Amino acid sequence: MPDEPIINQVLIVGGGTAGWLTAAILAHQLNSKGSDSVKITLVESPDIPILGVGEGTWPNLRSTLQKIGVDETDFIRQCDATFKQGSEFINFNQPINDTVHRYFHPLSAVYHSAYDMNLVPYWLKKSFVEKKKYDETVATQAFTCREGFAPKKITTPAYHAILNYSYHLDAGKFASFLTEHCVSQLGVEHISANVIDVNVDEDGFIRSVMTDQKGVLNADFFVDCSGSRGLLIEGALKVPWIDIKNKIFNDSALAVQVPYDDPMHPIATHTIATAQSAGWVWDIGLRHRRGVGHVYSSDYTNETEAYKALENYVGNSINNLSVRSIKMKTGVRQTFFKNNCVAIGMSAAFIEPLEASAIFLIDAAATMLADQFPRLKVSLPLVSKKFNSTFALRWDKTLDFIKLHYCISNRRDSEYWIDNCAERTIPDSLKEKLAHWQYHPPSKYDFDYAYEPFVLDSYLFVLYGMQFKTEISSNLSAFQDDVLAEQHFSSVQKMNEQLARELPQQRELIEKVNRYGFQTV
Amino acid sequence: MTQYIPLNHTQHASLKWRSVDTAAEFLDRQTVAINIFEFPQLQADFPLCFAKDSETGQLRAVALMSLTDNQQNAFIENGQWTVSTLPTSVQLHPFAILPVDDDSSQMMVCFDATSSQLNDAEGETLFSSQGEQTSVMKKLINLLEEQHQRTEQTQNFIQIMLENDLIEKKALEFTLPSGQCTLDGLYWIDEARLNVMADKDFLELKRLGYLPVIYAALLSMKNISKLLAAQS
Repeated sequence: MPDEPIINQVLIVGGGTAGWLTAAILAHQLNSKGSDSVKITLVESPDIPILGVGEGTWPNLRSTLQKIGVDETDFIRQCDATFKQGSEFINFNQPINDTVHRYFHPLSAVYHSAYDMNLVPYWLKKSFVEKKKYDETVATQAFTCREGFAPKKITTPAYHAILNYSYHLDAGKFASFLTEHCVSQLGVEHISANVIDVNVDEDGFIRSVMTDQKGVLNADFFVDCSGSRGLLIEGALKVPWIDIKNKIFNDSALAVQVPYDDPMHPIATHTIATAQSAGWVWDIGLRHRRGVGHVYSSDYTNETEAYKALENYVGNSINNLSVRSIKMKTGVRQTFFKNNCVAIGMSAAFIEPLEASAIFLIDAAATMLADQFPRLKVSLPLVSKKFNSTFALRWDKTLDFIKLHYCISNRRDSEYWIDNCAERTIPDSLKEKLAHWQYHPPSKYDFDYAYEPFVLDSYLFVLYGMQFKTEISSNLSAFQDDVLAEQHFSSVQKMNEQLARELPQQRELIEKVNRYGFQTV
Repeated sequence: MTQYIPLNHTQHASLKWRSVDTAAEFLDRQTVAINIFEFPQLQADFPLCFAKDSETGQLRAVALMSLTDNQQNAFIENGQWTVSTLPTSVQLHPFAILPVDDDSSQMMVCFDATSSQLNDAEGETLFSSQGEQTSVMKKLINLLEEQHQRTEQTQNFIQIMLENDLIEKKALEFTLPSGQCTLDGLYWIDEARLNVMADKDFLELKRLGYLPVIYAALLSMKNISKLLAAQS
């Protein structure tokens, strides 16, 4: 045994998706049920309800659930989950007359531009002649989303996909589901109590927390999943919060759960985001209800107006439903990992719900922590340095990508859109790229970090869905693989026809999963 | 396409069952559902494996009767079965016991209305002129009930096999005169996994009485080459 002090006990402060997902990932990777292993304890306040509005995820959750030993059928049944194949953005450009502007950001392109051939220049050449949309030209998932097809069949094994997918889920039920799994399967200890004080030593290391019902809880390492309050990272360790309101304006939301009129109502297989004059409305289809909410900026509108816009979207039935008002603290923590404490979830950063980056980055943070876990205290400085630099990058890149959805819009119908497109509100890192992309299609070399949260294909779907202008006429000689490009385009259409014959509708598959379940092979 | 409807002594009073003439209706069938109690007998002739029900996605135990879905059943010649021991589901065709409705545990006797084995002219009578069940019908109901229970026990077996990772999807490649063929979409007992599984898990299979079933399935794979010879 080394002489160095060892980390044997982790305390996670806060439940919710961040706390329980982190607990599951750590307990699984560190084999917490084994002897000599790191023990994971989660202390959760019995009084503070979880925020529970994060209902959209990314496909990494699928592999995480599989890894931590969750049965996919159990998860779908207990969390009212449905399959998500992407997002659709409506009216992020100015609708013309009564025609809405819409495009898809599907999870997968058929020919990944980063690995294969970049089809953008050929689509650009083609679009001079025929007005075909980028998403439909390169991705079968734009088609399957539009037509409501599920990404797989009932005969496809659990976690296997015909088309890449993630989930829409009921966040409250997901937290309970993970709680049960962590405690019964992964050896996580669950304590219900309020943290009332944090004991920090003279070197700035947290020694213990004081609770109201369970006394002092000691640990060697702490994870702050207490939400935007940042009980440990801010309350005890005084790490500042960097505001991002000069770039990302949305800071409030009104959320409502809308039941289906008919229990067999079709379920959308993508998140629908509809732009408003000072924000946007999310619409997420679960098995028994939709989750709908208006995210808006309190600097550009007020709750009364925001409610009207939501009512306009949902219809009069909203007046019989309970609407929650949520204040979002947007920003990024200056440092996520300090001494023996790491912040994961809204205690670390929150940009806004567009593109569902929250659960995605929780999963990524917990996965990195589990992989790099500093079993010896002497490793803390290096591990924290690596963690801080990669997550500073990931949050920066996430901010850039979310801002992209707004700042290339042609909407000028409100101060909100005018300011969103104003140069001063666009991060330099994004401005620089946008300037380059006016004459050069984006390339894999623009995304050269190993852990870019949003990669080339995602940018292409948004840029060209938003009709971003890339002028390639001075460089046409560089793009002469027209025959191959045409083959790729027509194979996408052929695949669409085949998928339409094979795939069930989302509703049909969800009902079958609930009734029969997926087999594991 | 099969179409099961409930059997009813008033509506179907005059229905007759040609119970022995089953070959015609199985001529185009690539697989036939079986239960685990039949494995030891059926392994003499058929490859025994598992296939997914396209409607429910659930694995079912089946006897393989043709290597491709466009060739006819290799165990039927000149309108006659060439093997003496046939799966129970063939003998009971076109009857089945099905739930009254989707969520019900109540069962009823149904028959496939598209079957030519049922008619008003010839075959075994199912109901007497008083509308009472004939002895053939009573025997049939007993057999159907037994088959239903055995099907459930077969599903339990499959569940245990899946939990032990003992069923694998495997594509079989072979050459027919028509060219290279792949038999896909079938699932087989994974012998390699069986041989490395923990002793306590293996003993549990023994305790459950599954070993004869498992070894029958493994032995039955020799019949693939017989099928190949018959269909080349």
